Amino acid sequence: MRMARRTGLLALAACLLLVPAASHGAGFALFEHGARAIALGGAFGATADDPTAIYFNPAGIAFLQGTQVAMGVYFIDGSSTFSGANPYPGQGYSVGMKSQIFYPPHIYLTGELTPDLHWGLGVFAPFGLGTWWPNDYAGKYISKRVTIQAIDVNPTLSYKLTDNLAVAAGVDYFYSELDLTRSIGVINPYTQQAAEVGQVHLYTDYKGGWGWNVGLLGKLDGGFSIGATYRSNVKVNYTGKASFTQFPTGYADFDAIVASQVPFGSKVGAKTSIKFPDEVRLALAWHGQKWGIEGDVIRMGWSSFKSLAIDMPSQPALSEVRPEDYKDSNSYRLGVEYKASPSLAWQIGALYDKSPVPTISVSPLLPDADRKGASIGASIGLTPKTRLDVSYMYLKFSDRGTQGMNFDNYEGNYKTTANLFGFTVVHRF
Amino acid sequence: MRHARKALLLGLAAALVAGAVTAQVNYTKYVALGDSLTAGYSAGALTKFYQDYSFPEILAKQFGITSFQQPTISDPGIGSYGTVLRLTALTLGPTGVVPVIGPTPGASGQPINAMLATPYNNLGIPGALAGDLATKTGDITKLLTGHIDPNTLMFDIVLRDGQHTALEQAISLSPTFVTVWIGNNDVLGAALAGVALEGVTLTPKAVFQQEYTTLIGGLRQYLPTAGIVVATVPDVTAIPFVTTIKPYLVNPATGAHIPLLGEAGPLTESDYVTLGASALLAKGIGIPAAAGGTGLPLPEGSVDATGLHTGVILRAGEIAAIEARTGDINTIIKATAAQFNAKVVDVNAIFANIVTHGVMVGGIELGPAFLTGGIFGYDGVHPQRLGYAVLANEMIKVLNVAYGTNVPQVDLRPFLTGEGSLTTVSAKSMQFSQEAAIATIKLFAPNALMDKLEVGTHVVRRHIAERPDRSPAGLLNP
Repeated sequence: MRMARRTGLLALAACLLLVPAASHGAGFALFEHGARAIALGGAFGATADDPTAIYFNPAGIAFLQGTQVAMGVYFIDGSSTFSGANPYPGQGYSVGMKSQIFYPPHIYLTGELTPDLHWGLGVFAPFGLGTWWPNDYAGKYISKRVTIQAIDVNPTLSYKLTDNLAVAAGVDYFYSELDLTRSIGVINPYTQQAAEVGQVHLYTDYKGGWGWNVGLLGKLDGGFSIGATYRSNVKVNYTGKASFTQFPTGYADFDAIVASQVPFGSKVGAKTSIKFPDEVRLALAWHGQKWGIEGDVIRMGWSSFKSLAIDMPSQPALSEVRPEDYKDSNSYRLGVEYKASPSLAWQIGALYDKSPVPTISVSPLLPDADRKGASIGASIGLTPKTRLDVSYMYLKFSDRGTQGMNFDNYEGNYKTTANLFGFTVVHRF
Repeated sequence: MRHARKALLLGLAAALVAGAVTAQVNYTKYVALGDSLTAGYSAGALTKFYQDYSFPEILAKQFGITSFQQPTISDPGIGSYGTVLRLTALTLGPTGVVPVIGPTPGASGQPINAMLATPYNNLGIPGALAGDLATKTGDITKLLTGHIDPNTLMFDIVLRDGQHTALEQAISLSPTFVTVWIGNNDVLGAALAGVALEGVTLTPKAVFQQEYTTLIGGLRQYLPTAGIVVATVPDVTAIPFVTTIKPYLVNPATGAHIPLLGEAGPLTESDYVTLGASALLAKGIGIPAAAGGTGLPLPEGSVDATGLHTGVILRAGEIAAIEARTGDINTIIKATAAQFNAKVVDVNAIFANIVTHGVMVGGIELGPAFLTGGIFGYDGVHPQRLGYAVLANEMIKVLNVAYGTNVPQVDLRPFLTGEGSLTTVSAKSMQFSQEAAIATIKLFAPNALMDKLEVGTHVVRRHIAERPDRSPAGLLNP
């Protein structure tokens, strides 16, 4: 009963957590887990001096005083447009992704067990994907709408080895679900053209997966600090249902044949799994009286995402495997902070992410591309113990063309931009 | 007519004195030589609905040519004496999906530009063998005066002047670029007649070698600088006409296979039954009495003193003979291309890839399945418009590599979805006539056999005994 209730609460929390239209770390990774860190372009692994460090570098919490909480939300408004190329859907065809605003929240708690051993608990969304195209667009047989959500519940312990060196280790428990909708197209013998005979909606339950992470933070002479973290793979095995809905084509006997082969109106058990990538972060920072600067390099092991295989044991003919073949990818982040006064700091940042998505997999599910981002933010002391961080980031994705290589033969060019805005409140008890 | 002939002669003379133009490929003046697959024939007819999207017409548009001339026949075309095969109904029958495909009622189509004063750019002649292009002529006056000769009808429509062969007419246009896709009927006749016999339904290797060398050599001699592209012959044993009907029924209770019956005994799992058997199966012929049939056998096909008797069964040995000859022909095509500096579009390999892997278009997998595959049309032999467009794109890819050009592929969306500029087929209520079926088969068969084909063919209805193996996976894109 207790277990059930806890699961229910987490699922509820998960439902509140929505994810961005085009993900904003490489692939469908997210890094919007703290407004100040975002203002610094995501370069926070060697600074790590507030509770959001649980994500950016958990070793940092060993240096935090007392019991602290940080919570906030990030609003992500992405926009993608697609211009077709021959042979399909053809030059001159264009379509825009449906507008969606996502707002993944984040909550962190830290405290002291002993002066040297600190604890932390973070809940955030390290991965997420949400793409939604108009119902009648030319790629409807590939994907109309996709949601992938993953919430990380991350307890951690951090230990101060010396006044200048701390290490941390934590556990990641992912709650994750998938939701995929696409149309079913069949050649209609009457017209000898594709007919939209129905759609399949696949949705999974929230399922769990375990991972772990470690961090190290060292404070060097002259204001320098270095950070290193590793977050492991997390594999989630999903179970769920596929529900099939028939769309009449106007040809009754054709519809009858299709209906005899597709379990319309019923729900079929489905299974799939995703192995979320591991991540290594190396960070270097310098902090002076007024100014601070940090640069991070992150390598994500996206080569773990080989394919998305939807298995329907009772309907093997309806099972499918989408090859993805992602590659490991690097991200580069740079942030500068200026402390204008004890109660006001400004940040600016920049990032460059290499896309892990190979050209054949650039699809309406995830029209990923290399991206550049610029950010700005401020930390405002509301009270001596409470700080408000606000930030804004603009992400410009490189134009991404399929170069006639797309797996589904859905060829063209994607242009994506995103505006991100969010806040985090940090409070020390 | 006289004008047309004079123009042809003048054009021919001009070609003979034309010198080298340019060393690089130049797609601006394009002529296509071939058979029904070049003509844009589909659904058992030569008709505007499909001709407008013949692969040469599509290529010409992609080349930027605005005046590509074809022997267009107004809908419902000429083929089965003015019939287009169209679908009237799909119903669930005891052994699977039973489509009824019939001709469009009403008058035959008429030639739209029979008086064109130059040869057509598309010189694809339905039914033509490799040896026909350099030897046969046609006279449009027979058609225009109502004296239709089914033996020469397609040659009359395409070649018109009664004097010049397809090869001569092609040369007379002084093309800078020529495609030659011929040889299909040199093996296809065996599949259609259900009889594979050397020299009867299969063109002997040595004969094909000589005829093909004459054709390509003649082109190269008079068009020394033109880009010449030849296409290989696809495996005709993988087309829906051959692969759709399984050689057995399935006992729904046990899943056991019940072999169909042929004159030479029950069929094995490696034998094939052509679409020509559909009407017979519908009458219970070929189905064992224990399975509810008549117990009478399906015709195997044969040749005797009275001529060729078409059958509906291709035994494993006949399939092997057809495939072997297809291999011989393709070897000759490639060697001849090398000899005369022509490029090769390996349609055989392209088609094999489609059969094996399908072709994805916008998330829909097209394949060789009858009716639902998207490539083939209602006769189970020829592509439909989408199939011709897919083929044209594959050809464009080869041309761009072979010549270092950058011809854009054609937009498949109008073909796949009907969005855009294409008109759509409207299914009409109709009956299928026996004459239509016979005439359809005649168009593909070697001319020498045409008279003999009148007997023994009773395709009144096309019938799928069982859905292809790929279904429903083939029905649903993965």
